[in-house]
Amino acid sequence: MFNKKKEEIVDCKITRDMLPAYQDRAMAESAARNIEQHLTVCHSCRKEDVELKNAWYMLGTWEDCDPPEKIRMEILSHRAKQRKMRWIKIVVPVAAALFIVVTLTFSFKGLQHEKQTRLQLPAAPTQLSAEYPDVNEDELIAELHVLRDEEFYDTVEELVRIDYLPLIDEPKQMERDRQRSSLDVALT
Amino acid sequence: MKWNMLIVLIFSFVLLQGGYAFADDAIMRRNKLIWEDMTTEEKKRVIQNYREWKSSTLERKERIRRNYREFHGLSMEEQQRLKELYRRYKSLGPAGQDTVKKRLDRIDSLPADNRVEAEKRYDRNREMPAHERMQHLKRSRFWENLSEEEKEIFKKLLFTDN
Repeated sequence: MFNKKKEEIVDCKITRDMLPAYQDRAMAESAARNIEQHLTVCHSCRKEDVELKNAWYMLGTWEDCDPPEKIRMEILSHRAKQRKMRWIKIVVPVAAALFIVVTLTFSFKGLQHEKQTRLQLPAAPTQLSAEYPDVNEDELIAELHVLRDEEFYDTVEELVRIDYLPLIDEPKQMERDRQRSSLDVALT
Repeated sequence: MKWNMLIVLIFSFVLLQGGYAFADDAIMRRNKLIWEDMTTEEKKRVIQNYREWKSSTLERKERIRRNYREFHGLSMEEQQRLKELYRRYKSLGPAGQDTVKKRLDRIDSLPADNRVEAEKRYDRNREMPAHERMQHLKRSRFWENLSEEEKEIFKKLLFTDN
């Protein structure tokens, strides 16, 4: 009993989904026959069928008419505004971001330049520059971490390569072992 | 989403620039303190180095800066080992250093494959205990090909029990 009710519900659902195709005769003959059979027994689906036919008929009776000029103009101007707003929404953030990046870059470059010119300008006479006129104290201090052991840092690459020297060639013993093991493999 | 990305990008850019400027200032301040604490003798030596630095080429300056960065990227143990190696290298005198340099030229002429192999051996070698490394060195082809005079020089340089 319960299963029969369920089947009917499923049939109704399928039939209503298929009604537009049925009315347009855009379905297989056997499927159309099934729907026809269902319509003869199901009152609610028949009602749905009639309502759909009426709706199509009503749509056919409608006539296209132009909206009043005032409303048309309002809609068009609103659309134009929307289009303009869309551009503004893209352009404003990009321009803002560019502005910030350019401003920051220039201010940073300005700072760097100021720093460099400060280094190049003759320093205020200090004890050091009085004693050694060719020495720019600011420049010396800026590079002090390197200058303290300049010669050592100049040699670091060579020192690392010295470690590599004994390793350029494989140790003789290892080479002999390898040769022996490959010979063993060949013999077996 | 787009706004968030933009804000993150701008923020990272500002942070990067700020961090760079801050690091520069920190180095400057620290160097100033070191300079003020130096003895007159040390200052004279630094001034001498400064004059050499000023007259050296851009390539040399860049190489020294790069070596400085690489050296400070090493572990403390490696740094100490290199300092010790430098002390030994300096103690060889100009003739000994020339001999070492001639041998070093061999590395530059190594084919790429051999260089990769040598690097692998170098990594393995670093993991060995000191005495094993010395035995390895004595067994090497490099050692066998050295003259007696060269062996004396490299003994001073590479044997840790000296």
